[in-house]
Amino acid sequence: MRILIVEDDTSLGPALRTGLRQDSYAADWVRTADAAEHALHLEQFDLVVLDLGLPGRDGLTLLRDLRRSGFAQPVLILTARVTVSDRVQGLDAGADDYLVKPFDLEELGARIRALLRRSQGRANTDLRAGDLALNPASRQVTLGGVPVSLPPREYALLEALLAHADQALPRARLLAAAYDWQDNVESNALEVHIHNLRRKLGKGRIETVRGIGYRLVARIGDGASE
Amino acid sequence: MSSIRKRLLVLLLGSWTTVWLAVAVTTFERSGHEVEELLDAQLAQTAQVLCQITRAGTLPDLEGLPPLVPALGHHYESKIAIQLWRDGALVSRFGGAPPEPLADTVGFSDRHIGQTKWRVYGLSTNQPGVELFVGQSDAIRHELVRFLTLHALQPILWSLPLTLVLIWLAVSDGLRPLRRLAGDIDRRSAERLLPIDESDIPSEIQALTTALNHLLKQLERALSAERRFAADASHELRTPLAVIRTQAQIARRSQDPAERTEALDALIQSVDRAAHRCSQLLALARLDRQGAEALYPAAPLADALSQTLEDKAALARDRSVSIGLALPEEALGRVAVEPDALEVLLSNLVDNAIKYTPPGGEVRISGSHLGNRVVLRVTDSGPGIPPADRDRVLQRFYRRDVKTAPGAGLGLSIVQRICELYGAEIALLDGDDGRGLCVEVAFPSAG
Repeated sequence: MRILIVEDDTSLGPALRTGLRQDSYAADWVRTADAAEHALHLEQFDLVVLDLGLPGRDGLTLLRDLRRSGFAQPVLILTARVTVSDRVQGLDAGADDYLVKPFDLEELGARIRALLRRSQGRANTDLRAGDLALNPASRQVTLGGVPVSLPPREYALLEALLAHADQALPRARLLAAAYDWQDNVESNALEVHIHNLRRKLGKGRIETVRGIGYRLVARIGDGASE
Repeated sequence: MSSIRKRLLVLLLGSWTTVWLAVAVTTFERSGHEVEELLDAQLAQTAQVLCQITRAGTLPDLEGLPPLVPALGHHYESKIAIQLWRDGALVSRFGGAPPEPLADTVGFSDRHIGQTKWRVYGLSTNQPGVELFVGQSDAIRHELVRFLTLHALQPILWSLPLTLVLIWLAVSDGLRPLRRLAGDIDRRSAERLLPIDESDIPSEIQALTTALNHLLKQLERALSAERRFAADASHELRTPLAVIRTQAQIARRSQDPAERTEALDALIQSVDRAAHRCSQLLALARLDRQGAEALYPAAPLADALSQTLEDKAALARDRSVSIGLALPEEALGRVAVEPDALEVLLSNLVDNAIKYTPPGGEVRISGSHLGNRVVLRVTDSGPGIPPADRDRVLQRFYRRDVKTAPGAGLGLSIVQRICELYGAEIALLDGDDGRGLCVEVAFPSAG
């Protein structure tokens, strides 16, 4: 999953990015509303963490502008503004959640998971496809109840594929979910990771969709017959 | 405790009682005198009537005979004694007159006969040698006078307690607006500092109410500034605290030793930054609270500046910024700013300049002595501030949309506040060649 951090503080921004990366998210950090708008235009982000006290155009204005232009992904406001009217204003401007600084990194993670779950329209905390299950909170993957150990990139790719099970995911979308702008992506990195995932999860699980990208098949039997 | 009510009551009652006493005494004396005159007239009138009756020069001697009428006709009627003398012999007497002559002259006279003092009117008749004396005992006269005057005084006597009560009520009523004002003030609190309604206030306490309302307004402004500052301060500390917490959590759950060290380093840096911000906030709060002391030692600019440069040397080195000084001797005199405040001011100026100067750049500090002012200029080669924004950067917590803006936007507002307190002037100007920012502070010189 790819997260955009909009935060003007030069210490908190990088710290947030590091913290979210520890949770296996690909995260990018921008400092201004204009940069955020630009980033959202260039890249597919699954969630935005937004500070309100931005220099220049303020966070609330950015949020209203984004919602007006049809931006549908979840936005979590992370701010030093504590009053009830601030919260109400933030949520009414189109935010999905509101967290006040100083915050707990674990709580931020849990709220992000909840927001992603809702945006994917699922009630179950686990992402499931047949006997394959992924728990975002513990970052544990099981196949037929047996834990499968995955490095962060493979985990991030699998999470994206599971979130859109039975849909063809473009290569760019998959890369965006696993790599942020700071990562150097080798040209065949995606193929290597998919190869490893197939090896660990079984050959038929991830299909190649020619000219587009990959698809995770929910039920192997059904998928093979199509 | 002095009381207006007591004072008013004492003054009013005291002066009224004095006037009352004077009126009573005068009334007593005058009515006494008038009654005396009336009684004298009665004597003279009686003598005249008898004189007319005794044309023959004789009257029956009634002394020792029983009275003809049983009692007196009126209770003010007093006994009148009468003597009729002819050629030195007492012809007739009645009304308890003594055998001795009541007087030796005609007209009014007083005489003691035995125990009794007499008031007498003597009259010579048209027959030679015949004299008529009409007399009255002085004691009876006095009793009458006293009785009559006391009667006349009675209403005045009653008016005393009545007036006292009325004065008391009037004073209490007159002081009611004061009591109402006290109640109004009593209902005010730190949370409710509404001005007092001046529409129904008597003109005498109008000035008091106006002054009070002025004070209330000032209080309200000071309190709301305090509240806003507390809110701003808590807001400003939330982000550094969030950084500290996040870095600590990253370090705790990190598997990678390099990442952990990095997080811990960042954490320590964040603590330093939070501490710096705290001290800035405290400096501002202190400046707000105490204001400038009336008497403070003039600080030598040279001492404060060298202390500041020493403190900031490490920061400048870290950022590869050099500091150039162009300070002639006369610019380093004493300035009329309290030494601690001067150091806070210089520290913020130099700190800001270093932070906005790109690595390899220079911060220039120059000065001059112009008239009764010592002018100090701190110039950086950073991004500068467009003229339109210069007023706003002096406000608290204002940060411009600049990529390299560190800090909380408090530094310049602290400098501004100190200037305000000590009568120094601050101006934001273009840096050298139109690049960067030059902050110019003109201190009042202290010789």
